[in-house]
Amino acid sequence: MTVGKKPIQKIVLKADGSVDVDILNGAGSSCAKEMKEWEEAFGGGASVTKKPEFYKQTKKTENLNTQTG
Amino acid sequence: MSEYGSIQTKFKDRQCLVEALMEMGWTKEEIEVHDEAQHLYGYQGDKRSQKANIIIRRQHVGSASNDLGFEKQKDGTYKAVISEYDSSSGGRHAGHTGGHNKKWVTDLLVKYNERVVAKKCKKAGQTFKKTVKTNDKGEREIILEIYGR
Repeated sequence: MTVGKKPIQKIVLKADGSVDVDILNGAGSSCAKEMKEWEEAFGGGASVTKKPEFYKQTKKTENLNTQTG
Repeated sequence: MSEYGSIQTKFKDRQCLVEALMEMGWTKEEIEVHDEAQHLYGYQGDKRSQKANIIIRRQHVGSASNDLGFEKQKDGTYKAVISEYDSSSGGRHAGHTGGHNKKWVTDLLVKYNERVVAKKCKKAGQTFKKTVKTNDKGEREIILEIYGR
């Protein structure tokens, strides 16, 4: 059923009862809407938005480029 | 474009909570559901001041146990109402030593969270793939990848 398809969202149910939600594609407003829907579905708990790891890595590379340039 | 967030979850959906309790081992008949909160009873049949909307009576909890329940709060979420005795002693469905303690409630919350995802996906006509893995800290994580229609 899911062969060849890419997931649109990834949910990680953690042992402490918290949940990580990753909206993998979509426009900015639809991402925010999806996140809000998950917050409401999971009881309205506060969502802490974190930057994905690859953003940090990109930033680091940019800094290195600046130094060498 | 993507968005990433971590959510501290709470019991909110009554149906999902009942299903999670059933996954913990109780039958549907053993779980009372009330729109109006009802009194809980102690192991000697004594009426307690605590009330709950979702109740498992003491005979289904364990020998010498009290009723346990979940009371609906003003914000629509459910709070576990478990006696001190049942929090520390093993009951019929404790699943581990330590009884219906904080860890037991957290384990129930994980099962509840999975039900919430399944319900939301079904409503949206989506499917999901489930993977269970152990993270770097040795904790069990359930990964649900959701696919569109």
